[in-house]
Amino acid sequence: MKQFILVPSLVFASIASMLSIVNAAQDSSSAPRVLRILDVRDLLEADARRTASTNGDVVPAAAPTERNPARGEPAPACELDAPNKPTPNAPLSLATHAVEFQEVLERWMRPALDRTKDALQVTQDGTLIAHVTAEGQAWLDNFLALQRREPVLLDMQFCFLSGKKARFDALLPNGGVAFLTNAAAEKLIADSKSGNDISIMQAPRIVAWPRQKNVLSTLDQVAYVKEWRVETVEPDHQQIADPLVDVVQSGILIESRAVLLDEKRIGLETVVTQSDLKIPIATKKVKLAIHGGIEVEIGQPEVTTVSLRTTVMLESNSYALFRGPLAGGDRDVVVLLHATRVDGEMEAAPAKR
Amino acid sequence: MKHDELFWQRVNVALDERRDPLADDGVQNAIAERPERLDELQRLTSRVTRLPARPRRSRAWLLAAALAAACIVAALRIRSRDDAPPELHALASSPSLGEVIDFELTVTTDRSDERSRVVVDRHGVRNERESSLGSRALSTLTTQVVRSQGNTP
Repeated sequence: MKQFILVPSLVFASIASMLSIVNAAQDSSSAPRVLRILDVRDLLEADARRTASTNGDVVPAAAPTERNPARGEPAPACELDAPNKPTPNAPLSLATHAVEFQEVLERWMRPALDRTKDALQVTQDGTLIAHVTAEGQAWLDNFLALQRREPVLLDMQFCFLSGKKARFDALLPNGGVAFLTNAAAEKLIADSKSGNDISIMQAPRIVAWPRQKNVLSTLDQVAYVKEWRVETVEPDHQQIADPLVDVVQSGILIESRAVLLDEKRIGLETVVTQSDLKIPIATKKVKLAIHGGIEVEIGQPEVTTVSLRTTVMLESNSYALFRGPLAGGDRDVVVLLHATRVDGEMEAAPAKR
Repeated sequence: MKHDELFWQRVNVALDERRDPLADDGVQNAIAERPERLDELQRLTSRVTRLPARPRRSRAWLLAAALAAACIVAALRIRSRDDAPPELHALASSPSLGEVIDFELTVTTDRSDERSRVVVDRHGVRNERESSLGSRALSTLTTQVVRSQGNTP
């Protein structure tokens, strides 16, 4: 009888004890904090050198990707020409990079920083002061070691797809997020190229250094007559119709920052906005009360803007998908994000000071 | 009589609490009033010490009790963790593929007299529509809030 009671008790108690241990390990709020001072000046200087050498220079990538296959427009795929443009004699300002480096640490540190108990600061001269748990200190050691290894570039891909709702139902719920393996995502993109109820709206790429903030924009501006005003002018006190011209923009704007988190994972913070202007612009006839009533046209542009702001951790073998409904009701938009490392690139030469 | 009752009551309380009755102030005062109470107390304590010791529980029962206590501790820890302030949870995660920490997807359609906006975020899907009513009026309508769920393929 005792055995009948004891054995289930032992099993249950063992599981509960293991859960307790796991919880204790995860519960970092009560863990003691350790204060350490680390030198990260070399990393800030590397960031400053890379920024100086890539400041605003964007060149087309070798392998183009589709922008709008229906219109046959050229590809906006771009990469930052990092290695070949050192700026000589440019002073390395570490203050900005210290702030950005601290942002990166606060964003990605695990266990996540507890604002009430942890403290983390990167000073302008490249000193990292960390008052965090032992687990946090271990994460810092691994992270800093990874950043100091051989330089790599990160390839970020952004792909906007639109298609019938039913085509996406099997992948992810409406208004949802999901991950796909590379093979599944590439099949989806290939389907869209063949016009299988899905089309690619935009598919830009950015190749950049880790921890580097990137901004990429390819915008078209189209002017149109927004409205007409009747003005009374001299000589002869005559009335004329004066058009008011406005500009509507379409294209893509990307702000992103990618960070190597470990050998396989990349952290990506991004705000990506894609605007599509319906061409031709719709017009409407209006009558002006001059010269006995004349008829003029005004433009009524329709712009659909898809904007995604996200923080996502990606494995090199996966895509993140985000889905939302387009106006009209029968089509949805899906944004795919992917990031992978590009090994074997050369580090930019240090700028002379 | 009443004082005797109080004396023995304090003695019993001390014994129940595994304390030495002679260390109790009340007992000491009572003995000071009537020293013969000390003899009665010593007779009682000697009888108590001659009582057979409580049989030792088997090791299995001790182990089971310890494990049961571990269960209670674990359950309490899990519960206290649930009560803790929310940490940064992933909206959608698949250990082998990635983790979405946060997101907001906005789809906006601008027309000359109307703007419709759909916002998808961790709270769900929200539809908003703004229409111009003439040149000086604007109507705003928020039509839907649906809770979304991340999935893990």
